[in-house]
Amino acid sequence: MPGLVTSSSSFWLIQLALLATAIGVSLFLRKFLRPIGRTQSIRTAGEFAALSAMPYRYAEQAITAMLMRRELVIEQGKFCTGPMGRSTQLSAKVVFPASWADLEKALYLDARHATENLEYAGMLMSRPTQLGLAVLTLFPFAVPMWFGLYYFDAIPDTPRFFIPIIFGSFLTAMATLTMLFTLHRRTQSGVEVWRKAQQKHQRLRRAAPRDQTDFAVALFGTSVLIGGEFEPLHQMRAESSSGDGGGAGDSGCGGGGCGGCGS
Amino acid sequence: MNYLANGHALWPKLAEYQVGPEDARLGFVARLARENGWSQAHGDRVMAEYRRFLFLAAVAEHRVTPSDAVDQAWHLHLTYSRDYWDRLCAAILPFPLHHGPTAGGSDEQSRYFEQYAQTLASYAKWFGSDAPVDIWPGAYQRLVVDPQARRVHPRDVWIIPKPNAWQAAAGMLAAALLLWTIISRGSL
Repeated sequence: MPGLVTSSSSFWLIQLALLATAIGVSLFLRKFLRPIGRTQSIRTAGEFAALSAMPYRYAEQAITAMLMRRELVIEQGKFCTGPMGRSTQLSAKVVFPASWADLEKALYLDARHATENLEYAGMLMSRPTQLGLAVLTLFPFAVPMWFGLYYFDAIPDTPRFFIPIIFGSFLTAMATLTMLFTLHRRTQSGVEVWRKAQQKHQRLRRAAPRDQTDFAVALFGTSVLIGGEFEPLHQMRAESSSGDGGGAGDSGCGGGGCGGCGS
Repeated sequence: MNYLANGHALWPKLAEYQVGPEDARLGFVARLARENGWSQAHGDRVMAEYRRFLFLAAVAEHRVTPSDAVDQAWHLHLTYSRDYWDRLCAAILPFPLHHGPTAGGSDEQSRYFEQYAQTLASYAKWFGSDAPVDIWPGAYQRLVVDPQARRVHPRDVWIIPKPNAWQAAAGMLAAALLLWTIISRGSL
């Protein structure tokens, strides 16, 4: 190997070629080692949210559905019980006014059950299977990593060589992390069902009618709410992601009634 | 193509509809394209979508909202007032079709969001496929981004297209590689 690398340009060339090969092999393994699973009929927005394999998507969809049914309303950046809220599935679990994190926590078990159901149905793989697949698909990155580390240890006399090695290692690390964090839990059957659903309902990504809003959120996330009636929900979601969702001490729910006296 | 609109008596009339006199040196579509900086081919496509929008306005059982491009065609058509009121509305559409701009505010925006979503849904129902995304973009683009457009004159300003994210990233990468090549060859 030392004979191959005679200049920083040749280092670059080999490093990028190894990295591109690693990405290609990793994608190939990811596609063909993913369990086949079983194709099942999926209809509800909640099931599609679980099939997204993103842990937060189920809560996004469920909260959107409750806002659509007016079981919840948003007041001063907090969730409150809406006019139809007595039957809400959260009444016993959450103290209102509630934050995004409160609702997400209250919906955690429901999300887990929905995910487990899809695991049994063969649409999602189990956690251990996902871990095994991750190890196998990241294995090809060992080669460009070793290459970078080898030359990091044996830097030739020219100082200009240092920058390409650091930059090449950085690129390899970024590619490895990207592959790791984009490895979802869908089986091959789940991938197919998900792809077809997104394709069929592309229109909802542009603008979803009110009665299909929760379905649009399940498939495409809360960004579909921007510009519409439920945009405050997207803002609350974005603030919770950025860690800016702390509760203001003086917020409260107005006009929601006592919420359970039955009179 | 075989789609639901073909079975409706109104569609053949609208599908052939031409605005303004046919022998005009600057026809309706050419003017529409010129005023918006579009090619003639794009102007023709927008005109086709405007006809579809007029059809939906007549048959959909809800209020309809056009995309920005289609709205430009509608605005221009309204300035051909004899053609619009005496020909289109009096002889072809079943009722006079008025244009109602938004009164502003978040409630109005929510209302137009819903109308736009319903319009896209009706489009898919009547024409058998989703509306083309370059002429009917997403609601955010339609209701938040597009209304920020303003009239400028090329006499007063230089118009330089902004690169998109990929073009900007490619440009920065090319500049970085160029700089690195210069430094590594010891030119600097």
